[in-house]
Amino acid sequence: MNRFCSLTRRAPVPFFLTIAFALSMLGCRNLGGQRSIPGVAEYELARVPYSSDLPTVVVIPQRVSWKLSNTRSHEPIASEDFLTAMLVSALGRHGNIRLLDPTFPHSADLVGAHDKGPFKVRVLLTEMDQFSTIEDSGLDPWRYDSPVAYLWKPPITIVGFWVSMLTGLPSVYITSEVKGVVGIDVEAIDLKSNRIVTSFPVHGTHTERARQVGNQMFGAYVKTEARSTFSGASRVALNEAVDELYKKLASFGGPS
Amino acid sequence: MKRIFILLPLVFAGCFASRPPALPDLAPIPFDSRVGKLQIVVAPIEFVANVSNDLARNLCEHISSDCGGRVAAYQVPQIGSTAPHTTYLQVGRQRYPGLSPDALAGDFAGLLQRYQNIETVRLQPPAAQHRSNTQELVIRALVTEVAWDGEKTAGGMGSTLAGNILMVNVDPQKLVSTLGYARIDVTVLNARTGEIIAAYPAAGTYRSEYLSEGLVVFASDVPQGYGAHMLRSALHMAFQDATQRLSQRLSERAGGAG
Repeated sequence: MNRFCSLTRRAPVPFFLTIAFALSMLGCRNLGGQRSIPGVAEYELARVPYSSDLPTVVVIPQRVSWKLSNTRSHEPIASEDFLTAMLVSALGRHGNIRLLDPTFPHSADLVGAHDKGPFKVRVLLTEMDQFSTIEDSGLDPWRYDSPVAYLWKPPITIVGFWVSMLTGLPSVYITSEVKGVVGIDVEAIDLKSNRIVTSFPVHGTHTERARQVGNQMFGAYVKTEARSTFSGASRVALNEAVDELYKKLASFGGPS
Repeated sequence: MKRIFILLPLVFAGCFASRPPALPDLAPIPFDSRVGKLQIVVAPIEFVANVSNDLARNLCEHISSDCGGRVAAYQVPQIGSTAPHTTYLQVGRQRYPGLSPDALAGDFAGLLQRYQNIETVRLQPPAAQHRSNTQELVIRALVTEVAWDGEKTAGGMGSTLAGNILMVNVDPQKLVSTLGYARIDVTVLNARTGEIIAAYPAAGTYRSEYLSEGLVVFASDVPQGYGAHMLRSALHMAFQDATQRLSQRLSERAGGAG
């Protein structure tokens, strides 16, 4: 310890420059490859092409509503427009589903002689949860905050070095997995007979990874803004619901 | 040792040199004679995205210094979770005109013109319910997902001890890489019959980086409007994707697909 103190006292500039150089080398790693916002088509399923061998089902999607059984709050979690837009997109993925806008008075000629329906489709969001688990965490003082920038600016090199030393040490990284779960209830009503022809629940899950790096004592600096797991889980549930719905409605009333 | 503290006040005010890359211009989509000529009306494009609190705050800070209550946070049920609460995002209408529903519709309308089957494109007046006897197609789009990521790829300290205690960000130079992401849900409606002839999601990402230099006192170290720029650029890419998909869907349909 005495040797260390005497070294810093006798040759402070070379000593600190050596340490600063070593730290800057550690901090020079390029971390650009760790970006985590996923690509465009991650939870987008392939379009189901139109097939003349299968019946066409005529559907009038209703506005999606929500009624959470497990909520602690009565505040809305998402606008109905948000969920309805996703439902219409999910229905539009299926080539043998013909969609009619619910705000229009529809003429009968939109439903062909061999088509099934029209069916009014209602979707109710009934469950939603989000779980987070920490996958990895630890101290990584030199990983994101390199002192190298301070070294190439001579007037503030010493200041920069000390700032790096003081703030780099308590920095941490946390990687967590956030999983969203959505439950929906789907109902189809035959508008000719006004009967509920099918009703079933569907669940969807979607997982995102979130990353947080920075100075834990004074607030994280760099954060990955994970997309809402709710959006992904809702899309997964609605796509699955549409596949199931088509099967049930196409077989309704026997072969066309 | 005293010199170190004498040097502290010497840190100086800096400036930014942001370097957003230009958005790519895509080639025209060739005329498909099976589809015929189209008259398109683009409805105003609203934000209905559901995002994390962090993103909402981030956008709030970077779109405008005063969000004026545009971002509303609602708690969602969480069991044993440490994740941020979900937030319903509604930003930018008055505070950042470039993200207003009309401005976004204008951007989309401009991009649609590269589809050569489209003869005319016009914007729908806000809140107008479009019904007509013409062969017009009404395009309704909603912004359903947005995300934003920022990462320092080279450079010095960000939120420093000095920054937090003295309200000063000591940050001589750093390169910040950013990524914006947006997804829209598009509905194409036949204005005469009320039939939805296409409904699909489209998405876009936009990557950029900016050089942050110097010391910023009492200010965010991200240029004002940069978050909005990222978001708008990602939406621009999503509109390009939507235009491409529109042409594909209409060609499929004209080819006998329903």
